Amino acid sequence: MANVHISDHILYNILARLHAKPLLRFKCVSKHWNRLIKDPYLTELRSRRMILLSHKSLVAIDDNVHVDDTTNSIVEVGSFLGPVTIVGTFDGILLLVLIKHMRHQLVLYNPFTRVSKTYPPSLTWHACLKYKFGFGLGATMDDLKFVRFFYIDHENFNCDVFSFKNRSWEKIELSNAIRDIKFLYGDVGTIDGCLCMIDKCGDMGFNVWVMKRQGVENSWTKRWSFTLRVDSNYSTKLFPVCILDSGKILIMDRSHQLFIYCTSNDSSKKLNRREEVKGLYASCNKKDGIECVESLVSPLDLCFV
Amino acid sequence: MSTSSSSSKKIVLKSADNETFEIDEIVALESQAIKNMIEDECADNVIPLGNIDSKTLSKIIEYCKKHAESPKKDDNADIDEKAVEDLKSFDAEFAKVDMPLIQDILMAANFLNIDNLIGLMCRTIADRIKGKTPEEIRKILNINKNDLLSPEQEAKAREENSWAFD
Repeated sequence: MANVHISDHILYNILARLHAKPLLRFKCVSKHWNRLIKDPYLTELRSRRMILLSHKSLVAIDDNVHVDDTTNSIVEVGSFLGPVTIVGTFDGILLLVLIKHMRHQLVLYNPFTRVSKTYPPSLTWHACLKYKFGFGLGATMDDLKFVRFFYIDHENFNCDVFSFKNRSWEKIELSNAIRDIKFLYGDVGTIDGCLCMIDKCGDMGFNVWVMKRQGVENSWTKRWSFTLRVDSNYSTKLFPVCILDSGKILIMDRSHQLFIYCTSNDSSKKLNRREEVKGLYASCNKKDGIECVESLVSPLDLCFV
Repeated sequence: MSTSSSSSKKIVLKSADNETFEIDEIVALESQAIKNMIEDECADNVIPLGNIDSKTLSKIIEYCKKHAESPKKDDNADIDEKAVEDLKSFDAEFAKVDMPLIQDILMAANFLNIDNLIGLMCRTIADRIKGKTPEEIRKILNINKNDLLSPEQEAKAREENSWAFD
């Protein structure tokens, strides 16, 4: 026997279990496999998410993988010649800001397929200034805009906006009201689609606040309080890196060891560290991580390109 | 477990090479397809399985027996961990067979609609092929030679995903 025809239904079941690397490699197996792998149905079936951390390169944590599987649980997904900041994500694509030749450069990057697109013109960057980034849609769906704030001192605030559609930068005058904005770090996220925030209480304790209804006063409630009992020499210096929509929270200690805490069953697990990743964390002082869905959407095919 | 009452009832399965296997009904019920046949009362004393050979069928019965004996997850929220571990190591041992047999079991499990077994075989195949090259996959899974990408298409796909070939 065994000269059998594998039905699509079975083949999807097998492909859905593969990591990005073999999956993309197997596009070459045959026309049929190529079609199935490109099919959005497979992406939907996999519906995998990864957590991305940035510094000199991008590192992805695949939470679906058993922690002992170090080859795939933490992988470097992109290396850029210069420090990189993740601004945000949409459709599985990351918006990144790189510092290259003393300039800020915008890049759209799909960490799953590793296809990227760089957007000139770049903008001058000064090491002595503090920058904050944001992005969103303009008046129409195809008008993606990137915002760069920076302040020289608390009197002098600046804002640049880049339109991906027009490929141009624009300086925006800020009103006094906006100058009072406090910039939030990576401790904001969503759980089950509800906006939430996390704060520290004590050395190893955390509170998770959830906003039940948008715009309603007092709709913030303290949903979970937990203490992370971890086996770590640096346990008194734990900080949240990223809140995942599934209700999991990624936490890092001062030695850059990562833990995933699960709010649904009050359990935590320690993630493995690979030697090459250690160096990356050691120099990573930023606490930002982001959750991203796997997609085959290419930055080269977006409608505003 | 109160399986003793139903364990008396027997079902006979007949393989493609005319070998018969007498099993407890409870074991046969692991197969959703056989379960439907029994419920619809369209199962005779002997169920012929014309597309499954005896080697494959005996493996399938081995799997169903073990899983029928094990406490089901939805019966009780806190079933003892040992049973879960035991079933896990059984599954791991069960899957240690050659690729042609894995594929035969998968096809048969698909035909008989045994969900857990389909999952186990798919996971096993995924594990075995994940480190392979496209050429090796074509050989292992008997990919139709008339369905290959053209050299130009293949070169393009390799270039677009070059990091996946490192």
